Amino acid sequence: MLEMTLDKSKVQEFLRLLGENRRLFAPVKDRMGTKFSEVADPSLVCLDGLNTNLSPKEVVFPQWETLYTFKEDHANEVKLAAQETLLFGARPCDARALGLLDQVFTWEGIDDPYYLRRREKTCVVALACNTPGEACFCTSVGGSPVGEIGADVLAFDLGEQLYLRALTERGEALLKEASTLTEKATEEDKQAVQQAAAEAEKQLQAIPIPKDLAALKESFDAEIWEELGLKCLGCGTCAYVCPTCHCFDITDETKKGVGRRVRNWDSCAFSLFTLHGSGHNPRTTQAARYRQRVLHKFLYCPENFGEAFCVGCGRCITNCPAGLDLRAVLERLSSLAKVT
Amino acid sequence: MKQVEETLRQEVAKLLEDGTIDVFVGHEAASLPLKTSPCFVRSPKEVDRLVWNRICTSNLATYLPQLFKRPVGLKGEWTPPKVGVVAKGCDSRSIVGLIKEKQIPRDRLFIIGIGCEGMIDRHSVGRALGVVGLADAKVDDKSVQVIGTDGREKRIDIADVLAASCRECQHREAVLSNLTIGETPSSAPEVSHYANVAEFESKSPQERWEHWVGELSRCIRCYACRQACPNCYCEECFAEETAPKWLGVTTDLSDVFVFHLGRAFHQAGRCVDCGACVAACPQGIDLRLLNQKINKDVEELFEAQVSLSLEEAEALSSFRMEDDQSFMTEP
Ligand code: SF4
Ligand code: SF4
Ligand code: SF4
Ligand code: SF4
Ligand code: SF4
Repeated sequence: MLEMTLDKSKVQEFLRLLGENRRLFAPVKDRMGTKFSEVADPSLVCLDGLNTNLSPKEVVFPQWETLYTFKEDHANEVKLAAQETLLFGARPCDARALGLLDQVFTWEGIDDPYYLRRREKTCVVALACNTPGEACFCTSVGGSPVGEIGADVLAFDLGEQLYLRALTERGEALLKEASTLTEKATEEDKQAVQQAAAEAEKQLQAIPIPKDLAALKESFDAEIWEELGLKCLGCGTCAYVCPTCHCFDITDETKKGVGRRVRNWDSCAFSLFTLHGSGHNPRTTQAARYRQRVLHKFLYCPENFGEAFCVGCGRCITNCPAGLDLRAVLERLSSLAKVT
Repeated sequence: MKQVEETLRQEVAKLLEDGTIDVFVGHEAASLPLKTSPCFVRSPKEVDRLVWNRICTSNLATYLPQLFKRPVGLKGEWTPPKVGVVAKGCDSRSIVGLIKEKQIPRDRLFIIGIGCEGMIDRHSVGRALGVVGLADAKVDDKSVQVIGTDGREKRIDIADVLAASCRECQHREAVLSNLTIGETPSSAPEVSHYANVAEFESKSPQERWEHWVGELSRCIRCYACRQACPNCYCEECFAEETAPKWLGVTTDLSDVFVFHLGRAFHQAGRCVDCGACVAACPQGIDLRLLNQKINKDVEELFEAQVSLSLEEAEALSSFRMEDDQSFMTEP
């Protein structure tokens, strides 16, 4: 396992070097805090924010993409080539979310080439969190502010320098490529990292997560969904800011015989999400839609993939215009589960 | 404010107890600092959930129409509930609009009006903090004391983080109510109305274009703006219609522009500048400029303001001989 340190004054140089033959995505300042952006100028990169307002899933799973184009009765494939990409500074929750998305887009042996072309070319350097944000709860959902899942390299901010730990072959190759700028991590560095990790984990709040799937199933008809449904505005915010939400729609856009088939993000909170062509809608109320969002993550995904599809990044909480808090909902569901 | 909150709770308890209303729509504290959540109180025992403070930003009118919809699949008789609601100036104007547009019945509504000194815009507080999160906040009459997730404290003048709509608000008391509580708010600010629009209009077409390209390229089509708006109650929004299809599903600028321009036109003569759309936007897009441009035009062309009373006809749903007709062309 390659363990290196990089003087913080050399971060820009490091990114410039690695960005020479890659697309570089990293957090930059934004009016909403920070956001992931494709950066040409590494001096814009800002590592002081915690998680960005929008998740980096866009890098591998863009909000919309053309699947193919067509003209009258003739279809044209789109080129599936993707460029080498470096996703730098994603937080461990976001990196872990990429691991979850990987499971969806390769589910039951069916590979999604549109997703995988980008994902396979993306090297993820995750940045461990020293201080969690106001709505973070990664440790409650099996993650960690210093977690390694989904990342190729894990970085720690040690004040004067970044400590970099290669986690995969790709990560190791990346670090080797920049070896002129880094130094071998010392025992002292490694100890500092261990200490920072322990400190960070301690600061996180523990949220009760309903794990009894049978009890969760029982909650389908529970009263709590009614009130939550009245509050929920039915927007796409929570799903669109969420690093693990992956539902999409496929639409044909045509104009005078020429067209394209587009896939775009969708959200189970939208009333149109389940509207059938016949006009029938199996989820008639917002209560049913909000319930779907929560149960998909905490019941159906555990059933299908063996783990909940929430990494505790807190974005749906900070951004919900109706002030809904997933943590509070999970707490209530846990106590329901105890009663029944 | 504490006093008003207490009175509100007492009044709501009475209304629920004597059967005047079945449910009361108010604000409750949300778990994050400087955030509230709409709440639906059905028993006098629950009234302590209700809060009244400087962060009751959302427009509660948005939450009313759903309560008057017959539950899907219900067979037999159904009487719509009697609903109470707390209303600032802007909420009350939206309620007036919704009554006139026949989305909610006046006779099943009990409106408690509260004078408003303006609400805090959470995004502005976020901007004052920079890239770190908001760990805690305390609000008094004049300032907001915030603590960032980096542990740093900061005192911010409340005037600096008021919602843009509130800074210019001319109708701080409910225009329609069954009961008002609290004190009369201080007089409306003497700001030049539509200053933002005038400034924008003075720019060159190129600059204006660039401004909106910058703003709207941020849009993620989450529709929080639409969903938070009391006027956006259409069962099927033009943005999602498929026959005809007015716009595509992407975040290409052309699609996003059509959505926002279309929505702005649908607000003509209806937008009360409550700021709910702006507060809801996770991308901090200044939609207000667009809506205010339309409001300014309506005000100038028809000498009318939106939804000030139940009696007066609204500018765009009535006709007067003296209405401006300069935009008409000869056939
Ligand atoms: S962000 Fe909030 S209001 Fe919007 S759909 Fe999600 S829970 Fe509902
Ligand atoms: S559900 Fe919310 S907290 Fe969980 S991963 Fe998604 S946005 Fe983050
Ligand atoms: S727009 Fe006016 S009535 Fe509405 S919150 Fe602001 S100050 Fe209050
Ligand atoms: S468009 Fe925005 S400001 Fe106007 S009424 Fe709707 S939510 Fe309020
Ligand atoms: S709330 Fe903001 S990001 Fe969402 S659709 Fe409206 S303008 Fe776009």
